[in-house]
Amino acid sequence: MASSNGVSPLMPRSPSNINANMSPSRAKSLTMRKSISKPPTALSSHHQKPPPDFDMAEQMNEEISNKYVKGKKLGEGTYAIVYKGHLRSDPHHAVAIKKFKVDPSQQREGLNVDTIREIKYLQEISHPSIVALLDVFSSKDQNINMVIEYFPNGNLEELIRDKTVSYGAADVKAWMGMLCRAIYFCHSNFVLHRDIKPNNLLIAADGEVKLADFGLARSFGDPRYQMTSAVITLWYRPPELLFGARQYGGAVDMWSIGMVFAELLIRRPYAAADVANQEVLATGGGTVAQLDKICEAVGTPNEDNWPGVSKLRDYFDLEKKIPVRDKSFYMQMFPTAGSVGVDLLMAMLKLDPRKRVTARGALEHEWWTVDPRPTEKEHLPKQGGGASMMAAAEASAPGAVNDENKYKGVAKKLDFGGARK
Amino acid sequence: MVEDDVYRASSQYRYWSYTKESLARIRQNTNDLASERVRAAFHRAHAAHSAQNGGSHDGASGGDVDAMDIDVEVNVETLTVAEELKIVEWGCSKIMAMGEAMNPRIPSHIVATAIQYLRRFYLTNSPMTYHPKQIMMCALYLATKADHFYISLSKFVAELNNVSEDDVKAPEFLLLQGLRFTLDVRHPMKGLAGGHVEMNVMADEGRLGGISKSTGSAKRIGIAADQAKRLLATAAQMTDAYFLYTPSQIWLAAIMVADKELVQVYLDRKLAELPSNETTLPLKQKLLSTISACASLLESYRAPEDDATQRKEMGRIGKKLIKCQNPEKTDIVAVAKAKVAEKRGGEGSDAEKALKKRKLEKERFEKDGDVFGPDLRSIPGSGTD
Repeated sequence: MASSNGVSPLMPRSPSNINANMSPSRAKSLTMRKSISKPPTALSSHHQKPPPDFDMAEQMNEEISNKYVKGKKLGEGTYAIVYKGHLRSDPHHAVAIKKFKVDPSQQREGLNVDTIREIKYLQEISHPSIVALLDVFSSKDQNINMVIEYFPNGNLEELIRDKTVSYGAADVKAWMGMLCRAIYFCHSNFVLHRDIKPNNLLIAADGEVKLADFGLARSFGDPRYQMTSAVITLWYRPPELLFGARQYGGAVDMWSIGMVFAELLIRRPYAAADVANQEVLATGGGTVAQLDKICEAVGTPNEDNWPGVSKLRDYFDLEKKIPVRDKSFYMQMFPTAGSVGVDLLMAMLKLDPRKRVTARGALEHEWWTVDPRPTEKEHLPKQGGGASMMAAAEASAPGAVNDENKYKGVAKKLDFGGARK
Repeated sequence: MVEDDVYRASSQYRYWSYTKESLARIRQNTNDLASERVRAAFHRAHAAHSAQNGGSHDGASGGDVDAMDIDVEVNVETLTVAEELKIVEWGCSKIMAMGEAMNPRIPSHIVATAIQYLRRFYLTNSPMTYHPKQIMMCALYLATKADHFYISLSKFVAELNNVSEDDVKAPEFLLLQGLRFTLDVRHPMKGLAGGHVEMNVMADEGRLGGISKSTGSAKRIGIAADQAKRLLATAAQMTDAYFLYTPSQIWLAAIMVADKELVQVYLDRKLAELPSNETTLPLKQKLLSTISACASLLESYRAPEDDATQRKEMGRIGKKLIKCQNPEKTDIVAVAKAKVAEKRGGEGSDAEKALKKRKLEKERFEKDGDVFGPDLRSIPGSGTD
């Protein structure tokens, strides 16, 4: 049997100073994290007593697991099942519990790397505009459960599409501010998200939009190691990845953010390849079709506007020759953004990743200082399709488009662009 | 957010940073708990088989009995905290050897991640419960997955001797739980590389006092950085450095071991760049004493393969461990399966099965006397990447 003081020794060295200078949600998440390390006095009062043979780690796990009550299923995807849950100590404190599916046929190499990486990065990243990981615990059958914030309002994709919801430039500015701060935080921690899209931007109860789904995230900054170019959902994937770049940085996320910005403004994806034809996708045609759309929306990449582009691994001469779109084109396309807003959008959608605005540069842009002021978050529209849409976003495989009915025939998996290898 | 705040938000700080005292306390707790369990397990085995007394007293290590009461009926001499640490250290050195032997060679920072996984795991688990040889392969494989170095499990296993895929992945869950589902490890190597460049620039600009271009600064800094790099790959991994110090303290300490003056001049300059001067003096003293303490820790490390006494000691501990290894946990694949079954509610038969396996295994051990596998291969200290 465990001696009564034999549990939970892993107290941070100085937990008392951790909450200084911290946003409320960060502080909250830390408080919850800290409570993991509380002495196990309450252990015996829980409904389930651990077997005497439990290791210290298992006892800690049991304590965490007992903090939550799992409720009804919110949604299920290829990747995970999402449940609603709440704190045992406070039934009004709702959480979402994302239970990763364990499919032995897909576990030939042990636990799935997406799961491992999502947990890895979310444990490190804590920011008001990034979905908070409250706890991780294992349940019977050796499933991994991630306890995350509960999002009753769905995601931005649903909100953009729901024509009964109206929103304006000030709202877009507020959302973009949240997104830019979130990605600046990731990048300054040397983490690339690699799957930014409206579907992964969840709407919190208080209106805050938070970046979710870190299944494709990775750390960056070491030029000696090559990365895969098969990341980011097709419509939000930057041209350098479509051309097979293996070394890249924060600019890939900034392109996605530019696409999200454009989509928020016109309420439809700005450069979206037709993905209805499975056959085309399966043969890597998605990449070609997406580059085609980028030529139309932004301009055709060439050695003039992007020195070195032709050296990229999968570069090919594009059929369409369209000069880089100028400001008047954008002004016409995105009138609600205003002149300064269009400047920022154009800076995010630079073809050459080296010329693209960085997260920091975006935050320092003049746009934030001109009218209109961003909407206060409590006044932002919040109807993003409800909690089931959160579940849809959380449960799906990373890099996939979720709603099959809306995008009939969209490849469930990433298009790995392998046709022109 | 300043850099310190970023570090304080990391799981390495939140869960895996300790004072010497708190670290010792945790290890003692873990040891107490595991010792109790080992005795209970032997007791059960004893009762179940109604065999004669375990007879595990070999007398050779009388001085190492810890302060625990020894069960009168089943006389098991358990490991001390210091002995457990030696065994873990052995596991770390095996991980290093595996990483180097692997083709493609596993980059040193991923090997270092695996080593830290192992060290973290053994804060709440005892080698008496799970021998590092059961966990170390899984730690290395998990590190390759978490740190984006893809290698298929079948290939990984093919590179090892007599290891099945199940052996590698069975303890994954156990390991993850022991790691409290935190997988990020902040290493000092990147900081060292950056510091090396910065020191060169400062020397070239004449900002490192006597250490300048004309006095051959590039060579001097290069030599110090090389030695520091070796320390980071060895001493920093094999000691408690990561638990006690931050990555930047560790790399500065490693340079300090190589060239004390260099670190002092460098820190002087860096502190002089700070805006306010009133706070820098106590800050500097605190910083220097912390870095010096870390430097002594790194310096104190001696690789077992360079040291006959240590090798002998390791042999003794290994033998002792054979006799106090928890008999119910020796087959990690069976243990993992039993855990699932146990959590599902069924108990009993799996434990017995595991016991039988243990008996067979024990016989095998005694036959070849080779619990620790083959001799440690010599580990070149310098990671080339």
